[in-house]
Amino acid sequence: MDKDTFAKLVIESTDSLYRISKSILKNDSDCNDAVSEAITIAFQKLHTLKNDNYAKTWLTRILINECYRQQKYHHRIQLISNKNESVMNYLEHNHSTSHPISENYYDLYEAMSLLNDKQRLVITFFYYEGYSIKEISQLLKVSQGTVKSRLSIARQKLKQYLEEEYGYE
Amino acid sequence: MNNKKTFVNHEEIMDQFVFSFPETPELFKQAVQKTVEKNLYQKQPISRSDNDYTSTTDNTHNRTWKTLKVVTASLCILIIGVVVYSAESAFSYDQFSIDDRQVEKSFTSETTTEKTSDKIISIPEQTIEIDSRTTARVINSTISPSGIILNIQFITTSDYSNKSSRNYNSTKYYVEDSNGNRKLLIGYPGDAARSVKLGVNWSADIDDFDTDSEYIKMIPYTIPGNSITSNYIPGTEIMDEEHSFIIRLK
Repeated sequence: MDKDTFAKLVIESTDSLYRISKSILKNDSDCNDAVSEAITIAFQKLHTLKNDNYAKTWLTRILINECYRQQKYHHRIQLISNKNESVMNYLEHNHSTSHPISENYYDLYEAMSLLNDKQRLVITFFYYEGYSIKEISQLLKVSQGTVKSRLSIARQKLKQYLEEEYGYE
Repeated sequence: MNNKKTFVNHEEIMDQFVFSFPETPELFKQAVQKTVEKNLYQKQPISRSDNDYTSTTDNTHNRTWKTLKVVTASLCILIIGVVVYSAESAFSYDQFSIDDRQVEKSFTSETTTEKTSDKIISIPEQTIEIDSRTTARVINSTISPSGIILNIQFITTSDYSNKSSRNYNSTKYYVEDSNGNRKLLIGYPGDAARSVKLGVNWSADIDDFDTDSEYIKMIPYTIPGNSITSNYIPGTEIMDEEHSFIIRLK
């Protein structure tokens, strides 16, 4: 894959890169750092990419590694149970957004912040990015059974939280 | 707050998730754009305007950095190679390159040279109660630079026809010095006494054995099965710590 095509792919994947990095790192500036670093690494190693069809998956894998490295390096593991911070972040980001419906779903985003990194990442891949179980298992280098199990536990936790806190049925 | 939301339908969940996530911040988008451009144009032979020196600077910097890394890596490999070679040489000299016997000999001769002035020291005569029926009498035993010579007389009231009684007189022993080093003893049984010698047959190992040891511990052992008809397999001995006994050397 040539650099121009790859550059286009990266730009198109901006939202996706943000969501994935945000699933691991809570701080936006950390997300910036991780994504920038991942993109730079990807450009440097672009010649090692054998199959162009997997370019996005490959970039995602690099990004995950970089996010974990950032998390470890900065010792900025966020308290996922920090409810106020999550809500504040959410409101801050969505205060000026154009789609009105988003304000109705901050409860779900907040509930997501209660999941651990692994569960949140699986949810992000599955629901936001539309990856299949098989693709997620390859991305995270875990078995498909593990992905299913993480998804199931994550769903269960979300359901329970939303039922208890927000009266979902 | 809408209390009638559901969390059952898959599509519903999908929609909720999609709308729940914060929008990508503008700053983030700009950062991605910048990074991509920087990487895209960094090494490309593009026509630069007069005031654009970024690419050249970066490339020069990268080349210098790469050269530096290669030189450093080469130096590291060279140093590691020299260290490993030296270590291997020293190791093989001590352990493998020279015949074990030669090493032992040189050690022994050094020890002998050091101890030629040493006198032969008699091991104090002593009587040791091994069990309720048997005592061991240590007589005419010596420690010399060439090793230890032990003469032990076993006095027993046991009836050797009774298999439950241990016959110390024909028992094989391990000997352990006060540092915990164990050696297999080669013994010469007699009618009334059993003499076990450390010295002549053990000259090769004498340097390993601590002749300055305060005491030695004699540990009987048996070989499983019939040692006469079956092949002896080293390491299968069964130590009889319970019937071990200690001989004072000084």
